Amino acid sequence: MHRLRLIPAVLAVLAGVRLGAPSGLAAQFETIETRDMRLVFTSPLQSYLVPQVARSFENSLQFHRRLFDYTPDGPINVLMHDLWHYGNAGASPIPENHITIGIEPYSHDYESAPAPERMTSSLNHEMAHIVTVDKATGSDRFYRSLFFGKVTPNPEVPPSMLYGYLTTPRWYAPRWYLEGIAVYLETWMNGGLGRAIGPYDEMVFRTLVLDSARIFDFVGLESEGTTIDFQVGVNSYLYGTRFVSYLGLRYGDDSLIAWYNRTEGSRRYFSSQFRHVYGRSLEDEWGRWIAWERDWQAANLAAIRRHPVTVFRALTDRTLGSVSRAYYDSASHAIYLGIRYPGQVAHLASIDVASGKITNLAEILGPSGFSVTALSYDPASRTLFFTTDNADWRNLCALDLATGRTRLLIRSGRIGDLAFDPADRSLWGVRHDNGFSTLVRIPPPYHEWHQIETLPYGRDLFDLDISPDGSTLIGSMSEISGSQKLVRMNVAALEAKDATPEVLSDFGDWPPSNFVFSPDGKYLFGSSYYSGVSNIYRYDLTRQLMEPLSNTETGFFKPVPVSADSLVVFRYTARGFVPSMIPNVVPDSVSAIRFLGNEIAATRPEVQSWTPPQDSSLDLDSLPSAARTYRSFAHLSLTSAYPVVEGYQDLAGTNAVAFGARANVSDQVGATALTLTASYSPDRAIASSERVHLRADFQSWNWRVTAALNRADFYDLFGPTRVSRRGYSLAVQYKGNLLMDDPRSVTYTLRLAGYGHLATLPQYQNVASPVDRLVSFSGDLAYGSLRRSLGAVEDELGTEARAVVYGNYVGGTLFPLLHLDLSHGFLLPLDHSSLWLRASGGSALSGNRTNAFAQFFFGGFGNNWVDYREIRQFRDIESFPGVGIDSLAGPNYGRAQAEWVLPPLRFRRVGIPSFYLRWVDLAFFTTGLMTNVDQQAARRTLASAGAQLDCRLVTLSHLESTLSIGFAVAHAAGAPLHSAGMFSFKIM
Amino acid sequence: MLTRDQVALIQQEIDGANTPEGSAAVRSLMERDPEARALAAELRRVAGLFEQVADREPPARLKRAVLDALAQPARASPGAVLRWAAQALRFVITPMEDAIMTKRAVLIGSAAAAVVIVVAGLVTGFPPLGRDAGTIGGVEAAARYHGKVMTEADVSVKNPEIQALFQNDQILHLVQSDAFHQVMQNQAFRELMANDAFRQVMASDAFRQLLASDAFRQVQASDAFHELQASDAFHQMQANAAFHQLLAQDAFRQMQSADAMHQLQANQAFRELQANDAFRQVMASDAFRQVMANDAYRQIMANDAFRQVMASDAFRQVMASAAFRQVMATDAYRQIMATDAFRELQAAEAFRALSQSQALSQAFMREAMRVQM
Repeated sequence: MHRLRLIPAVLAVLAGVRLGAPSGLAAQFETIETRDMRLVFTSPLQSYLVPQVARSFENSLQFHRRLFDYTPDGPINVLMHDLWHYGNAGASPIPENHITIGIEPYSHDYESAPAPERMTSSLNHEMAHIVTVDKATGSDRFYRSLFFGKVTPNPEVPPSMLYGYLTTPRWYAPRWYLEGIAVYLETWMNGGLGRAIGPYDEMVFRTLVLDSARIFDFVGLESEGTTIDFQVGVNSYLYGTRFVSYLGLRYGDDSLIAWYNRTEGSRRYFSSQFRHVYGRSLEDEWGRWIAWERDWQAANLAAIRRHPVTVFRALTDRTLGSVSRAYYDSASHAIYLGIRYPGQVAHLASIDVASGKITNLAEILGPSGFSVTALSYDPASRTLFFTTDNADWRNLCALDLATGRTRLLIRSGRIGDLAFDPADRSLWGVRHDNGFSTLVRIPPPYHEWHQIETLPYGRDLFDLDISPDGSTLIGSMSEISGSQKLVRMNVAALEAKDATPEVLSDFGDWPPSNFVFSPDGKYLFGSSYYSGVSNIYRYDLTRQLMEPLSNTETGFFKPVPVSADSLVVFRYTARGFVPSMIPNVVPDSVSAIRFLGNEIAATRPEVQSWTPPQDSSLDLDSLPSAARTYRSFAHLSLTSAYPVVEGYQDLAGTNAVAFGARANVSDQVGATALTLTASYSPDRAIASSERVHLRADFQSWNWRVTAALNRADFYDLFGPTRVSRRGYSLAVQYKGNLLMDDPRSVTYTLRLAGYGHLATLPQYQNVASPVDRLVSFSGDLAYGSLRRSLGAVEDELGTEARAVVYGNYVGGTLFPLLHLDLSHGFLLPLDHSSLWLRASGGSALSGNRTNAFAQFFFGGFGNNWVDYREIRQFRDIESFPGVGIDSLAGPNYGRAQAEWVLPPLRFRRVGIPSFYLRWVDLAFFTTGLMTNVDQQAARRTLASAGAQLDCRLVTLSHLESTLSIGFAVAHAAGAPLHSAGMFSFKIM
Repeated sequence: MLTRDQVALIQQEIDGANTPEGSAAVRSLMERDPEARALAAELRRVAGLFEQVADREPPARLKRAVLDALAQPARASPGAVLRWAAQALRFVITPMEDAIMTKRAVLIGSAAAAVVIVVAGLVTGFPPLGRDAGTIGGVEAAARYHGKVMTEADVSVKNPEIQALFQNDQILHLVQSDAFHQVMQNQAFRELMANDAFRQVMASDAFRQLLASDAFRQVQASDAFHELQASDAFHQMQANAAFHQLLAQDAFRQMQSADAMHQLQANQAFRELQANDAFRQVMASDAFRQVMANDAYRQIMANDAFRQVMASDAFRQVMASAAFRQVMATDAYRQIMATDAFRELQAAEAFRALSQSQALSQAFMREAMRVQM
């Protein structure tokens, strides 16, 4: 699976790693430059992969160069890292062409993304993104030269949205469009191993037809399908691949490539280009595809029904979304597993086999998409072993079912595919590190792992299980070619470092999955897409015979033998997996289904020639030794520059419009960046000394330096909130990280700033500054553990805590202040509905209490008419809806707030492809505030209640805007009610 | 990218079906276009595969598909249906073969079709040949297109075995240990690493052969040697100046001969060493005796590579260097030598590769130091 827009997240984590590590770590980044690629890798330990990355990159580029007649403007940046548990990659054309690759083995869950060697496969896919979104026409090149590069949309400068579209128009397309062609090309470039001939994809659409479920139209897919469905973002791949494959089959590949190729005369917008190429609207053709898909899948269902379909009995009334491996406890007649479905956070659960009752046992922090968690079970101690932080560096945890207590056993052990050895109570697993899969053993008390065998690069072992007598370990083993086998190893030999596998069954094209031992150890049960449909198979270890146990219409997975005559399996449905009981009986026959990809290979044979050439011009052996330490300062370059317009308000309240320009400078991985903005207010009502506005923002890893002169801001052109300030300032900030264990983090921020020629206080727009110069400092310690369920529009539960000390040094006097902030949220039984409780308090620690520098100020919703900050600013400490901005003040305060967030209402189809509504969400809140807490005479107590409605809009597929309206009523003892409304449009 | 006409021209050339002009055009194309050369080579390889087709058994599914097709005309005849039904009671395969025998014309046609399909399959990889339907009883395998499949030859990785060493928990503990860190930070160790003589020894073929020899590895892995290295006495002896002088003596290096032994006995350094308590404890220790009695140790002593190392000037200089003595004298070094992790490292196959290559050794040390950061 490939993530297209994850580069900022990667950089954030890298920055975090940098923050939490000794100073030498950043120096471990190394770089190599070839003719067409600038590779940066985050550790010299990854250097062994450099030749493979370089080779795959060049081969892929050569292929795309020929297919699309594409030549990049310069070397393409590639960042290789080891931050994820499974292999993944992403690409972005802005501000420069950039590919990010995680080096670990791919996930094999449900065979949802079949692929051969991962560097080749990832680069085949990502290069398709680069080519299809970066290739430019004369007009694109004109705008690129006008703006000195490709413009990244920046919320601080909304016109950059327009500039971005002019320089990189094809980037502004829905994700299904981008992923569809990348998967299609990748499949043929991989020799047919890919999702265009994927059994999972066939299953998804076959099931939609079988269940008479909705096949989304292409607006509904983006507005609803990629968020509420348990497959969430994967739907972009599923639908995109399917639609593109359909086009390839029906109209041929020349027109398909023409739709994606940005040639002279082509249309900027993807849907306009569709009409240009195919002569009909995208909407029309999408409807044709759905009709065709229903026919295709009806034929496959008919093929399956040529033989009796396996009867099953669902154990639960509800679908479970994604599920982990499951275990049956014969003592309690319950199944233990991890589940994840929209509306509630992922958790370990028990399912009573008789009643189907589902009990939530414990939350799983950091679940993974398809498999939720790696799970194993010790029935003797009634302990569930499971993993958290599953997408990144996995932690190993244990849940004691007797006490309900969860323990962290190994932090960042990076171990998955757990199996429990009942003979000696050890855990076994597969560790992913630096691109290698290592079979490890974890003896009690499970705090250390020991290497058993490290597999050579390209080989992976997964889906482990251990026989009841502890003598044998089985698993699925994959090779560089993508082939997978069911293998068996002797545990005693493994402990003696002999890891020679015995191949039990070679399923050929269709790999074995999740094979487990029967309780008597005589059989193995697992699944395979051998017939094209995932059915259950039974391997008789005595007779060495593989037999089918099902003929299902959708797909059966992860069998759990519960008795001699029946198994629990997980049946795929359009809404997720449902635990079901099937008989342990061999059916008469099982028919094969047809694959759309095969039909394309036969009907459109040109795809069979779509294999990358083998580039031999690189001296691969010498590449690793050519690596140099990556110095971000040495790689800084101008990425774009464009005109800006800003607003400025002087002390007299005169509003002026300023015109100027902004320049963006960055290194190739985005670790260091500099932005410079300069504008001028021609309005003569503004004093000449205030007409020039300058702003600089420099960031390098955890350091940030900002400077301003008569700061102006685009958003000061609108509404009541002002950030423009007279005078000059210089600030230095350092942000460090004490804990990074997603979703939990502990960060600290230190900041020192100096101001001169002040008119108003830097933090409070409506408070005049009593001094001309000011030095301020702050120290901030913050803890966060916020989570959300699948399909959420924002964080739905968790805790945040923050302690801030800050002070102003004015005329030889120091005014220190302290405030503490705590918030906690709960998910309510109603899906996607949560309750938040917030409390904060603060006090001036010394100084004259009446001085403005020793005061806290409150008031207002906080949102500007046009804004780019958080949409629900009533949550901020300084906010108090119902009264004016900064209208309440005191040297100390206490504040409490309760907020109820209702489930969002999602729009299935409101809008057109280039502009549609995604959701609307309503929150009710009530706030209490007390100032001058320690002085009864001056004390003020106020209460406020209100509501805010937010509506999310999407423009040009990428640009998410939010329209917010709010209303609140404030009340103070002995004073009349105050009310205030709020309207805000968050552009990006 | 080659045009379809160019591809066709190359295919005809392989088949010998080109006109002289066509052949000339192909030759010209191949001279200027590497892709054309590659395609021609691939097609020739495929042509070679064709020769094997005659001996190749068509897959059962194909056989069944052809036979299914043949059965249809047979169903037109009630007699054939009855014959088929009767035989079907006995076997599944036999009646099909009978039907084939009675329909020679169809057989020839379908066999030709089968060959075409098989050949096409070999060329295109589709439909798949590698999997026969019915391998899993009663289950029809789904067809899957196969293009060029990646093999290990398509993967280029550089010395992955060194990085793989860091997947060992013991080695990871070792390189992350305070002791290892101290050694790496030790000035004497750094000087030793920078020492020309030391580098010569490490780079010498003899030394690398010695380290790579089974005997050496057995000694290193033996409990006795391990115990010896961990002992205080051995440690003191290694730090002893006289011992180092002795190691640097020609006589010691030649001690395998009786004359040399006599010279050694007369050597001042040796006499001082013999008077040294630590030396005497080492000599008297069981561990030392076990090492001495160890076959592998004796093999090392008789090993040409060992002798070459011992006889080299560079080795002598190393033994005499203050840096070496200081390294030997550090607690951290001793702790490392005594760890299971170090033994595990020495026992690893990759370590043998490390031993054989100075470049790999340096790469390992460099990365071990970086792992520490």
